[in-house]
This record gives sequence, structure tokens and C-alpha cells, in this order.
Amino acid sequence: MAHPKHKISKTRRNKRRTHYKAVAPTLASCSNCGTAVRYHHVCPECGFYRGKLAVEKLVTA
Amino acid sequence: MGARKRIKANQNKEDRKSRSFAMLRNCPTSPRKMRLVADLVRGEDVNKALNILHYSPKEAAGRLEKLLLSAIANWQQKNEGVRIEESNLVVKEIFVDSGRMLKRLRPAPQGRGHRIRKRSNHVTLVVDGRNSENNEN
Repeated sequence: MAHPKHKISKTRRNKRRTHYKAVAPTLASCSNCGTAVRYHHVCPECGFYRGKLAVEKLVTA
Repeated sequence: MGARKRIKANQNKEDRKSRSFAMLRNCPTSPRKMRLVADLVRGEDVNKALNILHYSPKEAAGRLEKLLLSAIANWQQKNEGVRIEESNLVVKEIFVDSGRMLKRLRPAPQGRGHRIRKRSNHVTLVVDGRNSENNEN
């Protein structure tokens, strides 16, 4: 079976990983209340989506 | 304790008084996974960092969000009466160290056992104002 001939050095391994990064979420600000929201999602603060009230906020007694 | 060590220890102690930081210890994810998320928020404005961490799908992001909130609260304790909004807080420093490793055995062929290393990590997060005197280099 094929086998690696050499151990990969720390430098080479780390160089390979320089492009391996987490992606930050793309965020917009809500047109109604200005908090950060994800695209194509209802605003978690005020329940608005595309300038209209989409989900009424639940009032917990 | 030698003189040099003592001087350094005292210096570190003084540093601790002036800096606002928070530490997360023995966090049960590997340092590599934690670093991916830590790299996202290094040097970022605190509000932006909170948003990134809140909406990131990474498991480590939730833990870091709590840590950042804690660091901000620590900063507020040290700078009472100063408003957070006006002081332009940034994630000045964030680093991930490896914590202790739990060792587990996984059966391997021919009667052998392979070791599984369940890694954990420690995170240190320092917040500071963007224009404070500590920031000048």
C-alpha cells in the first residue's frame, strides 16, 4: 500500500492550514429597530421582515 | 524565588490590575477548533464581535460569546461610571492555550489499542478601549 515517505513538518502543516478559517456570518441591520440580523431571517428583536411585521413578539406573562 | 522571577511576577500582578480580561478554563473543545473562532473576533469592535459570535454556527462561538460578555462586565467593574458605548471597546487580545487532555482507548486491529486524546483548552480575552493609552505602541 502507498505510504508517505516523509513526515510533514510543522511549518508545512501550518502553512497548509493558513487558508482553513471559519467564515463570519453575513449580517445586516434591521430596517425597523437597527439590530444585527441574518439575511432572509425575521428580526429576532422586533419580528419585522422586509419592512413589515412578520411575527408578533410573544409576551410572556 | 530568584530576583528576576520575583520582579517579573510583581510586574505581571500590576499588569493584571490595569487590564480587563476574562478567562475560560477547561473548555471541552480542542484548541484548534476554538482558535478558528477566536481568529474571527481578534481586534474587532466589541459589538461587532458579539454579533459575529451570536450568529456563528460554530459550537465554540457560544462559549466565546459568554466569555466576551464576562470580559466586558469585568471592564465595567474597573471603569465605573464610564459608558461602554463611548469608550470604543475592542477585543484587544485573545489567545487559546491547550488545557488538559483526557486519554481514552479505542480498540484497534490485532489486539492493539489506539489512544484518543480528548483535548480541552483555556481562552484568555482582553478588552480595551481603542484609544486608551495602553494601546499605544
